[in-house]
Amino acid sequence: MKNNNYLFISIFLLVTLNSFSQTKSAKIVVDGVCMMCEERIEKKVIEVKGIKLADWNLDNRVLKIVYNEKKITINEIHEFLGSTGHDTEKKIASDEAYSLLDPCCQYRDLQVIKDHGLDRKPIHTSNKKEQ
Amino acid sequence: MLFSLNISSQDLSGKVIEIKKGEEIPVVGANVYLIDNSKGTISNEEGEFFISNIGNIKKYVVSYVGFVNDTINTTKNNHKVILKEDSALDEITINFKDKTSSVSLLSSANILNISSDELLKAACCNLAESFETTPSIDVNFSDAISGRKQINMLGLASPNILISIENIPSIRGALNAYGLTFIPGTWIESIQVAKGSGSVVNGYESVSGQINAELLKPMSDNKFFANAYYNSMERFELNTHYSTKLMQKIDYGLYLHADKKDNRDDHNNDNFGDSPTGKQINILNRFQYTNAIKGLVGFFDINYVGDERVYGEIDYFDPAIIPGPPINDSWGGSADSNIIRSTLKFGYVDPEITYRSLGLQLSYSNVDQGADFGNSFHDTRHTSFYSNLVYNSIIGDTRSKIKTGISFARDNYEESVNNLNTSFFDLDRTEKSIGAYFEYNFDNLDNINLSAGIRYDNHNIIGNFISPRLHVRFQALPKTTIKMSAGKANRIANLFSENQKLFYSSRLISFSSVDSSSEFMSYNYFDMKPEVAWNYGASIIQSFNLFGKDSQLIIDYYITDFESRVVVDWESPSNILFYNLTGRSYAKSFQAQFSYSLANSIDLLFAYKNTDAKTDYISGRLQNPLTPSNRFFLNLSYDGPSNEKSSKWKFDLTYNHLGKQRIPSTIQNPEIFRLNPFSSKLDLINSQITRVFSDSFEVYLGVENLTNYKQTDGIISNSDPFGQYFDATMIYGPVSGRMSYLGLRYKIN
Repeated sequence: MKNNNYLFISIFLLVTLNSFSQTKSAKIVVDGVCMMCEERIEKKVIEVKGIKLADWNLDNRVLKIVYNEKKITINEIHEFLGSTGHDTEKKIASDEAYSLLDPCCQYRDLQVIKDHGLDRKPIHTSNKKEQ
Repeated sequence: MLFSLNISSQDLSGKVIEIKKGEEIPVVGANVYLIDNSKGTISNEEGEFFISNIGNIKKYVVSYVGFVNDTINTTKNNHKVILKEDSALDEITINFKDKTSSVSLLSSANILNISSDELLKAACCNLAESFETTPSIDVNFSDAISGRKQINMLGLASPNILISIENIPSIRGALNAYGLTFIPGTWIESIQVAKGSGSVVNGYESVSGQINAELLKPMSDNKFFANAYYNSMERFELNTHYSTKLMQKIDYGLYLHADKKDNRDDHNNDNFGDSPTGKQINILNRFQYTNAIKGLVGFFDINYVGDERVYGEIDYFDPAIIPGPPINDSWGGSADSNIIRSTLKFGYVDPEITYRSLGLQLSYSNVDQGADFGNSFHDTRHTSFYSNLVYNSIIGDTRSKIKTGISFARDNYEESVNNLNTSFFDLDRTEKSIGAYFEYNFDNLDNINLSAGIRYDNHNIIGNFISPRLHVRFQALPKTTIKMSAGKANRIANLFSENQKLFYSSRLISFSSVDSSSEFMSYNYFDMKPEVAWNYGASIIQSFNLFGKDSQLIIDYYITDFESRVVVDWESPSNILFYNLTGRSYAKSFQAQFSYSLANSIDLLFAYKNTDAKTDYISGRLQNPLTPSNRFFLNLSYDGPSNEKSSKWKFDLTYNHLGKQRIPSTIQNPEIFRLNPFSSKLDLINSQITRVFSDSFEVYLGVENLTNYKQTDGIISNSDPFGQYFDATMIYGPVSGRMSYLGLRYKIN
């Protein structure tokens, strides 16, 4: 019976010390205006292979991510976010991907921003010409 | 918040930083735009921003949530600006009110969260009384002597509920007798009630559910708080809280509670005091350590409770107060408790990888309680040590979370009982257990949340055993959530502490080993087996819009089925028999609850509850005594709009209907000492009105048992308490009639 205890404790220690592998954390500014955006961003990003945590904050538009840098690079994450229709500080989503977003999520539209009670500007519209 | 920037001819660049506790932290995601709105950007991960070709624009704006927007001159070099925190944000009126008690839609377990606002609705002197406005938990009258209230969940009394303070199992062992009265209501920040089998993290003991009380935290608490309370039974209470910052990362809180009642009143004219006289001093010191940058948090608590209760006939005097041989022949006694409790908790959350955390809980308590009752006494000293180490992480990504850990508990009991100078029991014993657990949680971030846990424990009396637990949440439709749970619990009953009210009678206690094949010979309770129970349940939560207002219907059904149980048989009026269950013992609980916002400030809560709790006694299968099968509950609360001085009115009304309750058989008594086999139905009304004068001061006035109900037959043979028929345990309603109270709360932020 005592052996059983040691077995359990060893399993516990094994799980505890499980691969503290090559995980990195980063913050990416991702444009969005509402809870639906939050749900979409977090859900789509977490499904990407190599992403371990995705937490987007509507107030400051910061997406906190934790990822395995052996499986995905930060640039690939920016690219992916663009493909979901959301602009990041480095990547502007194609108009096609953007247009697929729900009308309430049209974060480049000043009126939509205002309708959500937010006092801010889209990340990219104003200096879009130069990009 | 500070900005530093340098400007080359046509470009604008800089860095947004925030000064937090002397350290510079980059602000990510601040809006930076030129005053004419022609161009803008957002600060990056390092807080840096860059706008090219600004032309001849002279000013730009930096804005960030929670701070006042600032307009800055583009021409200055290395310009630094300190942004003021936006105080205006505090004044935004939010019309949507949070419910003071709410059922979580997202968690897989059926968890009811009771906020401190809900706790204010009742007279709420201590944890036991905190549930008077919560239909899921019944608050019952324990007996006619001690003035105690006991709580029931899913048709089972509080020893079947794992009651923890900040997730450390606390109200157990010797504290089953008075423990709930040692947690003052004002100390409680919030309470979580989990129906059905709980999480494996907190142990194997939860049979019908878990109740966790979070206490106030020195860091977030008011600087000073005082509460004074006085009621028509001449009970006086005082609570004061004080908190301060000792060092940069250490906050300290001092929480004091004192209560006192000197007069013995007898409102139902049975010659016995309706509630005891006595006093309590309760002191809690809390130290809180927070290091947000390194992700470290810690708590160190030391709590002392000294409590004295004197009860019995109105002319009984405690011999400790008037020394010498008993000066009268009155029946009575006193219960003195001294408790020292200390806990140390430490948590580490990886600041970068926030899903990874490690927590350690250590707790020590020493409960010393001596109680006497007429010719009987019950002395207990329970020393307990508990530790739990829990590690949180993920598998793959945060949709799959794991919790795993090991826990250790050691309980040492020195217990002695004198029952009517006839039976004596010495129950010195030590219980030790070590366990490991693993809990897996899956959340698809949409409609499914599943939590499966298993723990394995080695206990010196129970042996080796496995406790599986499963919780599933499924959102069938956008407004329809279904929850299901199943789990197994093990527990060793502390028969005398859990059933201390049985001493308020002339009953003779005996153990009978019905099952002689018991394998638990080392268990000192005369071969009483550990209790083993399964709990299954399902719940459906339907939200809808009725006449333009939010409403919610919750229906749940839970079954607790005991595989093994120590039956407390008081079906014969001359004795109490403890024996191992040979047939079935179960509690089936159905509850339908409907909540509705009548208007912005008025909430209505209606609940119906049906409990079918039966046990196979020697005399046959009977409904558990003094447990109403049917109960209706109605709560109406008004939380008025506050004016510019934050003054407002609050009003609360609770109606309880308790159906008839089975009374243990008294048929063997002579006719004058018999009770009806069932109690009458009861209607009880409590009400409270609060006047909030300002953010710092409020006064409340309330009444309990408005209809002045008094149970007058609560004590059998009250005129001859040393005679063989005396029994003060048959309590199904209040014995003391209407009680009104007045209190005030004052706080400094």
